[in-house]
Amino acid sequence: MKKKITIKTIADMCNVSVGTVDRALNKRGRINTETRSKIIALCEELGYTPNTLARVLASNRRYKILVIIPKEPSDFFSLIKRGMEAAAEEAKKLKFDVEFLSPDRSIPYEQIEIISNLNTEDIDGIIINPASHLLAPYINGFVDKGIPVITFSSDIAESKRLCYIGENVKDAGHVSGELMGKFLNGKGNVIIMTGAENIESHQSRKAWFEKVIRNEYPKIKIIGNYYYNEKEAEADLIIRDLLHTGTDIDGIFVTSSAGTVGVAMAMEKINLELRPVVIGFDAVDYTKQALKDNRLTATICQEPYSQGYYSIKFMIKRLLEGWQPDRCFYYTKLNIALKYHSDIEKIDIDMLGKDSICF
Amino acid sequence: MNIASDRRFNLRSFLATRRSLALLVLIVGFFIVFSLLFPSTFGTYDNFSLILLNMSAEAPVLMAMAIILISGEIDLSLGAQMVLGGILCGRFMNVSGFSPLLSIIIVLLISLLTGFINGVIISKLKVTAFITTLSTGMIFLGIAVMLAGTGWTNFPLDFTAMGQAKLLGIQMPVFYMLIVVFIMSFLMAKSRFFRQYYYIGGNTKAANLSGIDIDKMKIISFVIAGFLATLAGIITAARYNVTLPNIGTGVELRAVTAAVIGGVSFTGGKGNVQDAALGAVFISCLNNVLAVLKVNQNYQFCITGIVLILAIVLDIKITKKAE
Repeated sequence: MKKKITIKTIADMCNVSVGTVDRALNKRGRINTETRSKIIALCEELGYTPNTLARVLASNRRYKILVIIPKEPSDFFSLIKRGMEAAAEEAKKLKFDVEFLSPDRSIPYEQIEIISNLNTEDIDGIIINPASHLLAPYINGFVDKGIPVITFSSDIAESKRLCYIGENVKDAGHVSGELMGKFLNGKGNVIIMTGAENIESHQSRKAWFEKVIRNEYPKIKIIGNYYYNEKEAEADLIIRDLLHTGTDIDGIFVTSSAGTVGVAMAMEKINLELRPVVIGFDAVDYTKQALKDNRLTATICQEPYSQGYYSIKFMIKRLLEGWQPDRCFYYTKLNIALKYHSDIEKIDIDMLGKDSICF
Repeated sequence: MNIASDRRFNLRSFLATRRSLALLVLIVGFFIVFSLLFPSTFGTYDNFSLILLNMSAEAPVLMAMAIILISGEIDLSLGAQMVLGGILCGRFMNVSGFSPLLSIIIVLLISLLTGFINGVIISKLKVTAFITTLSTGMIFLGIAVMLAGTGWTNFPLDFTAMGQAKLLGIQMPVFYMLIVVFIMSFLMAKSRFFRQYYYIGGNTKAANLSGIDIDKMKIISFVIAGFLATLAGIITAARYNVTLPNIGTGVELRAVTAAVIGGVSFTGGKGNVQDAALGAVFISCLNNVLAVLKVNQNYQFCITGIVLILAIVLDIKITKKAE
């Protein structure tokens, strides 16, 4: 029977101590470069991977991961948080504690206030949904202190964050534009509803949407751009006002989940012979119902549960194994929710662990 | 995952991981069965002593083969070195007039050279062990035949006493065998130096990456093998008070068979010398039974060959299933 390769085997073969092998594999402590290279090459040849679980269980060390996740829009971020909590539950035996901090709104200055007052002494990793590039220096500061940072759902590519898990914003904007163009048969008046001017992911979605419309559907006119401050009620009011004043709207593009819900709420209250095409984001419960009721046409979904789940998993992998990602972006799959295909969250959870992350 | 099935006793896994126990059960079972069948010839203390005695002279060759196999090589010159050792020892005593002790020392020193030659050709000239030791075996045997003449006999009493004296009713070669098996088992299990042979035999590339000097280790293994084979030749000469060129015939086959039965993998990296010794006990029991049954000795070669194939096939099947 093939003998199991253990850390002791590696140590014996290299004529070093088990501690030396451990230091070489975990990139810590002082160790001769040649010895480290020899140990790593040998482990690769023998296909040895440390028994992380055994090592963690044997040690007294506890790890703390801090998650900074907005409260609103609650339906969307609660899905992400569910994924995180599922991963955190699995990680309990590995002695990981996950703490959630929820700023009231996903806007930069509130996040900056929280981050600048953070006591990072006992924090081993940070997972954050950054609202703007203004947070980059803070993220870099954490990384420089040896605290890895993972971003989810929105990103600051120029920062030193370890990686990003979330939608491919460019694809999301492109697909939204394509859907709008096709649903409108290449012509009509479209308005854009944007969550907040200073939330960069919304601006990016809007920009890519506009690019597709301008380049490929020149007969579609973008007649207005409105901001609803990430509030469903404001989105509802804006749409009702526009439609009551007789604005000729054939299509509405909404850049976030909160706005999508708000627009759907408006559609419920207005009696229209012909409703505009509404392309929004995510499939929270209200949105799913709105799709079934034809108040919304389609929404772009980004696997929130997976984002939450994998951001915790990746952080654990980093902290336990020193994992270095082979890329900066781990994009979740883009799904399109329609009237007869709206149970996206279930698909998200069912597919988890199989191919829900696009590598 | 079915937890119940994971806990169910699996005979194949059990046997694959507890080779010593399986062999002991086999040997004891063998002994019981044939003792019942042939109570006056097989099932006696004297016969069991004979079984051990018959394998004792060749036991050092078995140890040598086991180490070589574990390191991923083979040595087909062990029989020739065994013969050469005995003949040289006899010649030094009878022709050169050296004392038995001096003769033994000189012959053992020469054995280091014969082993060294094998090791250097294999590790430095990169000729395969099969070809190298087949060739050197013929050379060593040729030298032995040239030096042997009609053979040597009538050795000094203090030399033959080495092989014929008894302790507790058992001849001394049995004790030499136990000492050699004990020392080699201890070294292979406890000494990091010797453990390297498992790494070399298991994965040469990995052994190289870990910094093991494979060439040096291989040379040393063949030197040790030559030494042990020559020791076997000396013990045989002492026991039988004669040295002849045909005394080592087939010893490699028997050594490989015993080693494989004992769980040593012929591809290297697996097995241990004490189980190989148990394998030799089994072979010796088998030969003893064939002798009791008055089977022609020539047929014993065929039977040993069949047993070897069966042992290899069984080993493959058990190990695969267990994995």
